[in-house]
Amino acid sequence: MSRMLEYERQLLLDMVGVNCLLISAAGLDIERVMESLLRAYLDPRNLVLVVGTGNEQELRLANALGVPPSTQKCSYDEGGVVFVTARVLVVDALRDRVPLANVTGVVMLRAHAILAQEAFALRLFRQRNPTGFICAVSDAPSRFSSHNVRKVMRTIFCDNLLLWPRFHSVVVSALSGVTPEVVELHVKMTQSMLKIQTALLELLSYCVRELRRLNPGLLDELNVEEALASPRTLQRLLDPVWHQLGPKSRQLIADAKTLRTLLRSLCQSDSTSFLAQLAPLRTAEYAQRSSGWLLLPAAESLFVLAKGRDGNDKEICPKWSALADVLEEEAKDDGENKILILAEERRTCRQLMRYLTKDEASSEDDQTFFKKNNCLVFLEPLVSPLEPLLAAFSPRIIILYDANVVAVRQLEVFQARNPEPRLRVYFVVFGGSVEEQLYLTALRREKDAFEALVREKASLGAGEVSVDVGVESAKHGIVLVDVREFRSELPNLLHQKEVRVEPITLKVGDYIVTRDLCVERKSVSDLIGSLNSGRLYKQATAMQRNYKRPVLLIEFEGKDVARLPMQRLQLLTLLFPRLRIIWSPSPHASAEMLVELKAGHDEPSLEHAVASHRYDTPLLHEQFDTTMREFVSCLPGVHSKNLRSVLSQGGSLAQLFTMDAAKLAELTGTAATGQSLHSALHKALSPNLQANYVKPKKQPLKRKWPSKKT
Amino acid sequence: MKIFPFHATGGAGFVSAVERPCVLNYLKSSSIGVQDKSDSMDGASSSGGGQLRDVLPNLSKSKFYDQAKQLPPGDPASASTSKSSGPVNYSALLVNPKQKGNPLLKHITSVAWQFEEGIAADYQPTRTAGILFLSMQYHNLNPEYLHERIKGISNMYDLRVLLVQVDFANSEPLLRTLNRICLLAQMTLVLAWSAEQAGKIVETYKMYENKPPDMIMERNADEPYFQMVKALCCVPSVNRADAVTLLSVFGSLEKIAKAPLEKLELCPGFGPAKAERLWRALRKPFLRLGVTQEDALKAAEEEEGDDEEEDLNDYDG
Repeated sequence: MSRMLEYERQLLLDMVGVNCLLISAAGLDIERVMESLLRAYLDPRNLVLVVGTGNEQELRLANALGVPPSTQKCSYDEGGVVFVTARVLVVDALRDRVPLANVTGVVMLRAHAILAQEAFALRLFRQRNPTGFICAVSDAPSRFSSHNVRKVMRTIFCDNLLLWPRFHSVVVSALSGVTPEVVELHVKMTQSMLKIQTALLELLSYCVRELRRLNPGLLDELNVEEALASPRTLQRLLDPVWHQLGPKSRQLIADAKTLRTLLRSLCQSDSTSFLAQLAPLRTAEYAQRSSGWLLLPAAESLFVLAKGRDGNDKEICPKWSALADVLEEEAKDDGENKILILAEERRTCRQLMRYLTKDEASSEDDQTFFKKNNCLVFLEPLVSPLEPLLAAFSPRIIILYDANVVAVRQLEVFQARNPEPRLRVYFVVFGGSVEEQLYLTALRREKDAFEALVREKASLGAGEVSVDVGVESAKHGIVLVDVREFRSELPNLLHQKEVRVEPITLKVGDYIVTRDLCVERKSVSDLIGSLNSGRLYKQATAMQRNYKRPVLLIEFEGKDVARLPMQRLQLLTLLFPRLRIIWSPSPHASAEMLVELKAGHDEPSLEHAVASHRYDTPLLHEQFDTTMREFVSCLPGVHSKNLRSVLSQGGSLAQLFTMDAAKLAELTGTAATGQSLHSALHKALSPNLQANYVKPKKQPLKRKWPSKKT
Repeated sequence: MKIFPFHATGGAGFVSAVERPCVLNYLKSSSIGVQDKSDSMDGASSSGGGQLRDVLPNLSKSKFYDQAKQLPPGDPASASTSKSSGPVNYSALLVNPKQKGNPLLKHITSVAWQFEEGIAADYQPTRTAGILFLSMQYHNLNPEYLHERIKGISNMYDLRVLLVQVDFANSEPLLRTLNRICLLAQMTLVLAWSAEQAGKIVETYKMYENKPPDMIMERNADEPYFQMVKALCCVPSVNRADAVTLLSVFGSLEKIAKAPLEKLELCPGFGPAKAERLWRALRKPFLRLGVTQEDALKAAEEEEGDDEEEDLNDYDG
């Protein structure tokens, strides 16, 4: 491992054994610091829990440390560093399987994504262990608003906020020692590209204008710059109001995203692929769906220009020729150079590959390098972290085809860590384009976020973050909670209200509150989904069969009210007159209701809960991939009885494709189901209007009897 | 002057702020049997006065009970709608005459309804189902009213619905009380946020009188095409429109699953991120990391047995 940089050393010293929330700039590669930190605890005398979600970052970290990641079953007995998901940790803690009192500390990756179950895990830890450290880390400063950062700090029970922006003096001095030689190539866009860009921006601003007009007061913050930012940023802005938006508004947002993609691909790809991307937008189908931007004059000029650009003398993307020039220049030297070209997307890499090798037909999809004179040229998509890639290729010349803040940072860090050889970085960007604008916006956004956080830190007085962890007791008795319910906030709140929460795999219901009372909790989205799929009907049947007092707990928020599937719900009440409905406007209200319901009743019986009839196969969700399980369960010929056999013996979709109808019949149980699965997998499907011919709806009887008027 | 439990707001014109105290007194006194003459009402109906008498638990024993029944069938304007004196027509939605003037009635447009004196609930869509209507605002002023009404219908119906119109700003504490009341009184709580919605709910209860549960049951016998659309929608971020696009572009699932990433990216509505997510999802093995086929098959065999033993032991320990 290359040497540690000054700021990394200091970061590590700041973090060891301390409660802290660390927020660093993206690309500074705090992963390495985390690795060193955790390595120090790789010793059976310690037990450090790393709470993660099984994402790539965590997998890399676990791999580097040589311990199993949180996606695998963990054991706390051997000490050292243990990766665990928050849900498993909560369940283990409540079952006293993890010696929380003896744990050295907890490390929380992705602190910006702390949810209910993470908060529950940390609170349990704090209650039983007042001295162990809690260290939370994030490299997404823009995800922390002032409100959010306080909330996270309350969640992790500490007031020690460590901020490491790029403009931190230690970082600046560490990275300014040896810097790569940067050559900025400001490529000019062609006239037609500029015009297309203008047209696209005009259309985008139309979408934004319409959105604001349709939703007065809701989307006042939205502007073209926001709409251009990454889809995730836009989504975060929209999420709180999403349910209040009508179909037209949602279509406008989808259109804005399409336009954004077009703007980016204008800067990245050639005229032909750009035109190909436009093609589906010119269909009648899309025109009906779209929000009306197609009718604007700008749309017409967009299509005309894009077509003209791809005419007889094809316009070559100016970046491509710039790239070719650079390669020509660099490959002239006799030395055996390695050149690495980094583009944001793999498809751009493939396009560039074809262009640079002048080889349309034979280029293999997975070939990522070619030889130019004495030089080896690699084409790779941008990944984070870049370090392994750079270490593997050890290029001397790097060409950044797309402007990307994180990539630039990582190159800086790499150079600072490995002063020899000095890198030459070509930074290819369209001058005065949306691309450049986006790069600058990303930088500004991060800087603004850090400045706000610095102010927040200054205003954070001592003791402002309360360390009141509450007490753990069973004052209000026991509630049995299904292990799958720990994703929601309610178990945590029940525990806070001094209820003993007993995790168990429930076959019927989500919460068993008293001996007779069984609660199925549904958010409005769940309610809609489960009423449509028939799941709630089954659940209600099972509850009614096994418990005297079945309850459906509906958690709704103000914005959900219009979405409530009232008619289906009414049908449910008609079919299950004994089913009670509790309407709860918040998880807090739900917790209060459940505690109230316990008063004066017998404790729930575990034996009864376990003996209850199951309607759902357990372990399915633990053994099979969630997406594919749902996917396969929807396929024709597959039903709840043969789902397990199809999943476990099928293996994967690719394997299913290789099986013939007889083999599929074996998997699904009968020849008929095997046949229908086989044809569903292989046959072209189209909506069979004949078979699906819906009876014309009965005209609603207009009779008004007895008529009011006559 | 009259007051109904369904007055949405004071602004509706029936109860002004000044009148409220006397309304409360009036209600209290009514429960001890003071009769309210119909001439004190604004002449709309005799049944309006009946409302308060009906809330008495021992209704039939009341000396006014017979008197109320003998009263003329109400004002001429609504005479054709309310057939309170005729035979009970159980095929229509029966409405308690106390509900006269409730704005939700305006929104019952698809089913026939008629006023009927003899019913205990406010609305009776079927013999076995009764609906009580309550405005949250009214409940806030007269919490006693609900208890009286509940007593009146306690053993009358299999399904007892309390239809509450949420027309009160601070609804949370009231909602909590109502949730509790409904659990204790074994009633099904249904919420509506407007008179229109409330009307539609009452109407739906009538329309769904004999509805089979198909609408909320699992449907297997869908056409393969639609099942496939549903399957594709299981992949995160793929919506219905995307699924339809995929099937129309590629034809079969096999072609979709074997399509190179590049081709997926070119589909309308697919950005690189969504395309990659789909591409990855369709290549994922069914079994989770670290689970072997044997494990999964073994679990299938054990399924019938009790595989929750582990949980049991832990609970005891």
